[in-house]
Amino acid sequence: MTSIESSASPMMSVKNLSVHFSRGRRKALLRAVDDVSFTVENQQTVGIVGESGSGKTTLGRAILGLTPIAAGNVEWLGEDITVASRSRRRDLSADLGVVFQDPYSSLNPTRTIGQTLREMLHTSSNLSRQEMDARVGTMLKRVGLAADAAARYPSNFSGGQRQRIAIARALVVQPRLVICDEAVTALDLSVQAQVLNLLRELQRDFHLSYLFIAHDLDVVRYIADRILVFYRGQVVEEGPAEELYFRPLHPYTRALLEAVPIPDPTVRRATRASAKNQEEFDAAPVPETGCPFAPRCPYRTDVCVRERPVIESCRDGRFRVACHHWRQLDGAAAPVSGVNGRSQRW
Amino acid sequence: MSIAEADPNGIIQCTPPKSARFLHRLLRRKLAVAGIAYLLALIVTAIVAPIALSHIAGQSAGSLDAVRAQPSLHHHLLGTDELGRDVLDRLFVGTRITLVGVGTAVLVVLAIGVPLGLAAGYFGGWIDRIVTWVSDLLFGMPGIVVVLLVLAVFPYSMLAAMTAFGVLVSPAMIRVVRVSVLPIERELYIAAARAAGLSRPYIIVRHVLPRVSGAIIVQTSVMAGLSLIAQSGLCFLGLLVRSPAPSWGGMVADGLQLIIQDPWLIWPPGILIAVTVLVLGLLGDVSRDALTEAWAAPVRSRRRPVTAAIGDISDEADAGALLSVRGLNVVFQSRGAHTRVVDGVSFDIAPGETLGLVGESGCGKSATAMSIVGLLPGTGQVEAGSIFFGGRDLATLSDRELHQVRGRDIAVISQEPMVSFNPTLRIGRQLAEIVRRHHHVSRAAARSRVLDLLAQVQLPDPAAVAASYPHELSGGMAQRVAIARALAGEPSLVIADEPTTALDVTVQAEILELLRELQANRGMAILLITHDWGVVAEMCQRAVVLYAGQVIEQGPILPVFQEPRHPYTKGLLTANPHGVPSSEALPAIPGTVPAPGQWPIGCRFKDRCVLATGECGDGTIPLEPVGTRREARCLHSAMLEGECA
Amino acid sequence: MSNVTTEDVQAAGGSTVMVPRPPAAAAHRIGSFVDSRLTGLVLKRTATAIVLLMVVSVLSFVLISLTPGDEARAIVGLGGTHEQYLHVRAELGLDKSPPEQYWQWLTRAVHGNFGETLTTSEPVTSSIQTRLGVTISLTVGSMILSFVLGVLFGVISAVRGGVTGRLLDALGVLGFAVPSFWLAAVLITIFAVKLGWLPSTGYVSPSVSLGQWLQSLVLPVLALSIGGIAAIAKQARDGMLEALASEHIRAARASGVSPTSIIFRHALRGAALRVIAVTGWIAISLLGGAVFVESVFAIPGLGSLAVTAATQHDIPLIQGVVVCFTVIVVIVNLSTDVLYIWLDPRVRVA
Repeated sequence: MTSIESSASPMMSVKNLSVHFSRGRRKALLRAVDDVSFTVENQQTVGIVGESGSGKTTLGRAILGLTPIAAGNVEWLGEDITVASRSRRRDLSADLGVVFQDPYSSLNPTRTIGQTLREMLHTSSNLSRQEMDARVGTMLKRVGLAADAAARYPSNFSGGQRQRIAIARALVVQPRLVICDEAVTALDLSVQAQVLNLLRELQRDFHLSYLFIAHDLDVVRYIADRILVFYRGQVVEEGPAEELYFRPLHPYTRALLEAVPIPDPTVRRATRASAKNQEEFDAAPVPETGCPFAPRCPYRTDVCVRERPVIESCRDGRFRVACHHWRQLDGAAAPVSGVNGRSQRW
Repeated sequence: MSIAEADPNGIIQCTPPKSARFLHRLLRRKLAVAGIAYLLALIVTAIVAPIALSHIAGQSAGSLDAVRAQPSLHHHLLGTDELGRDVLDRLFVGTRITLVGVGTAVLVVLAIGVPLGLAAGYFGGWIDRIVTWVSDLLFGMPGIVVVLLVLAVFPYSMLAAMTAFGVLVSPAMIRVVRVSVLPIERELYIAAARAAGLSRPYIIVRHVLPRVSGAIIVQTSVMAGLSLIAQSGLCFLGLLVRSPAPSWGGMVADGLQLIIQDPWLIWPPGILIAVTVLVLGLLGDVSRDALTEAWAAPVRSRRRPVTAAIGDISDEADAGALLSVRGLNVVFQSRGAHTRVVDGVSFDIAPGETLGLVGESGCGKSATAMSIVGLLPGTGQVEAGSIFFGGRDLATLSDRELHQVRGRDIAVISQEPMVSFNPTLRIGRQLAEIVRRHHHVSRAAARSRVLDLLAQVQLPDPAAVAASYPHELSGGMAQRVAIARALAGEPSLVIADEPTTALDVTVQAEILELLRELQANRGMAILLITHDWGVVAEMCQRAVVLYAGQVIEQGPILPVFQEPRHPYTKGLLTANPHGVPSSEALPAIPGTVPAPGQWPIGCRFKDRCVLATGECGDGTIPLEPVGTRREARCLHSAMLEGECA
Repeated sequence: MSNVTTEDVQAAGGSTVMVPRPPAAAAHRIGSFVDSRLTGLVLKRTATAIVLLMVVSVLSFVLISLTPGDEARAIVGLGGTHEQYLHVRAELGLDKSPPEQYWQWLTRAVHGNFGETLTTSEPVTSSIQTRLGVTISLTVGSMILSFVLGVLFGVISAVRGGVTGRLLDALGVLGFAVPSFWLAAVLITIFAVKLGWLPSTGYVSPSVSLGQWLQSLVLPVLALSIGGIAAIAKQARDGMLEALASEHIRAARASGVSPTSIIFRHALRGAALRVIAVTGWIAISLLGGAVFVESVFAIPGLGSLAVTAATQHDIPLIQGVVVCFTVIVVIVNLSTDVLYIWLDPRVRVA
């Protein structure tokens, strides 16, 4: 394993990244990712949370070079990888792994597990066939499968098992950072727990960093060190996982937390203060000026509609938030819109 | 409970690896063997016959050779034509021309169709547009006539004619390949390969091509058949082969001349052509099956006998209940194997109550719900049990009788609202049809009822929604419309099958609130199928937990959450990251759910259970009462008494 | 808090309209029908058609220039004088360069003049005109029969299943495998020779006798249609099966819609789309099949004209026929595209 670098220089640094999609001649550009910046440190898990349309998936794909970038860059160990050539991408794939969401389409059904894993090793190292097979076998055992799985096809495995195979594929090249794009979303609860535990163990054993993209705040809070909250392509809040979950700043984060159903029947949901028919707002294009959340926000004022809020550092630098009124909202005595039932139990 | 132990069930459920050699798989099928033998026979004939029977080719009218011909080996099995030429011999000799022609056309089609189709499907963009345009262009040419033009310029040239034909029909191959490639290009393993920096040609050849090979094979066999028909047609017209050289099509023409004297003569060549086309098509299908067999999902065969279901609750229906399910068994049939997916499930729903049917994938909750209204997909059917509703046993009703119940008394809301509407009709019209079905009102009255319903589900602009098509709505709106549709018949029970799983969490919250309000206003019962315990906690008064086709626990919501009496329920509740600090490992349940058809004897959860003992594997575990209106299927449920989740 | 409205925004000093719009209420049906998507399609198709015609004509010119042998010499014969030879060459335009020849042909063609046949020296256009109607009636008749029987068989085999379904399946497969010219011969054997009900060859114009005209067309239409019936039946059957298994049909059943209504109003629409999608291709292949069928039944249509032209290497004639066929095909394709767009609203809205 490589030596642990000082936290002064982050492993990955995303700077003012923007990804735009054109929707046709007469419509405005879709800013799927809009001026996003954040860093991932060594052996850290950064969680990215958002609903559909937040841009979190596009962000992951842009980092991997699967989607063209409109502006900004991504630095990996100081090197700008947005301009990487295809051969440089090949080398990079030894450092940057990815686990996708859908265990049924992330593995080529016409190739055996062994072939799929060996293919990853081909691109990034010069091992002999025996060495590759050994590595593949070790990796498969490590993720909880028998070594003879290498001779079988994906159709022989369940969803949870396939996701383990996907993890094995990402890790067989011993990367430094793994992007988990909704890696546990499609799994049953019990399988999800197993896979989350596996991911944590592997992080410890292989000194990995994760960029964990998901929409389930409970999962992200559990696995991540820091969380970024995305809304319609923009970062609206960033902070330490636990603190963000129990004391969110941004109105959207609050709305998200309010909306998540809690598995505890003693907590009865108070009527939410936020507007109904949320997604109609999401169907309309992002307003050109002002905060993207303003149409839905219970606290908006005219400055919110006029000016896009700048991301500011707050709570002694632990947090970043993009809201004009975060000062009023921070530490408000009672939860203004009722983040019910979420008390820290430890 | 860490995952360092290898998953004990990891590989047991897999079928043994299939033979990796395509040829072996192919030859295991009798039809394939027959077809290949036939083709080989043709090829051998094509090579040998013109040499062995060299005198045939030159036989023309008035040739004394024909008269003095040695008696053929088969004694003119199929007769002779008007000139005394032996029919079977001529068929043999004509085979070469036929195969050469078909081979030429097929090669051209493959050479043009496959690369262009791959490029168009994979790269998209302007490459796709150009290829599609060229393909449309070629497609727009009247095929045979252009070939005739070519023949007018290059008379009797098989090469020119069949090449031209191949070029003209290649758009069909381009389209098939392109359409097959398009969904693959979006699959995640392609994205993974690209992220790994693999080159595009490599990805296309090693990842995409194997996936479309099935479609290519089938289409090739179709094209081969088409070429055969075209080629014989051109021979029939006398344009490809100079007489007296024999050809299959030419022999039909000869026979036609003699149709009055000897109607038999057209049959041998015609049957030969038809049979060859059929064999080609058949081989294509069989090869495609053999090719994809290795990596297609295997059929799960039953390896252990399924334990018979015992009527757990007293078999009489609960008189006060709106719906009483007793001992429900649901089976699916696939390739001759019966697989039971729901095993002896029983529960009640009281009027106005929300009952949660909770479980993970494969537990049988959807099958249970769909069997109530007789809408099991595909080959599913209710094998045993009763479904008491409104004084009748729905399980015994025919489809016609059930159709009276559907929509009017029991309505269904499904998981994917967008696809549950007819994409070619406007929403208003579809809803009006339902309204008129259940309340015999005029069109105008139906229309206003539709608008009323849409307003009840809190859509801000009912008229606009009614005028829209389904694909114009967002997910949440579509689900609201689906709820409106369910309400149209004013049912007393609504079955909601994972109604919010496909929606964003903020939208989900609104939909659930809507359902609660509607229920409160109308007093209808809801059977809510879900895997999300948060939803259960928010919506339901009672919960029924399913595992491997059986009810393993049921009861009022609060006790089930706070004091679960089955290790599985408890395991699920504690495995939720919601309550777990990030410094701790999640208390995960090891192992995986046994698949239908592979349920173990005794407790189906025993292989994963910390409390399991030897007696757990002895026989069917009964569902025992463990409290007021509570049941659990566990021999050790008493051990969980008093433990908080 | 209520929905944000424009007034609120303006009162707040905002500049952007943020009213959440429900999906655009579709305009009146005709209005949305005649929209940019449709006109765009028509323009695209017309442009493609023109290019197609040019490609075809260029193609034939290229082919001709590769022909071994000398046309003019073939016409004049060995006994002709050199002046006669040069005269014929000039008439045929062979003394000019190929691009010039093409341009000459093109300008004439646009005016409807395709030159004269080499064999009879009739103007090509008139040869085609007299025969066009015949082929059209044959093809249209086959189209109708294919549609009617194909949809009928396809829907029945999808809905009924069982023995009927499998039987129809088998017939469908046979319909593909059997060549139309051979089937024509078989039909003649049975109906004309053995039973004597219908004429074996020949064509009677409707202006002479309507009854005999119909009689002369029965066997040809039947022979031609078999392939079309099989193809349409397969599409109709697949479309029905797919529709019947689809989620929205299940939801409709769950809402209590009656089974007959399900089949006829909902499933059939889905199947119809598939059938329409393949109509263009069927029409084209029927036109191709007409070539053979007309030859067998000695029907004086464009198809048999094409065969004669090919046999006699009559280039101007076959060029004319090809252009004519291409125009027909283009019209058919355009109509089916328009029909498809009209029926499937998903395709309509860009």
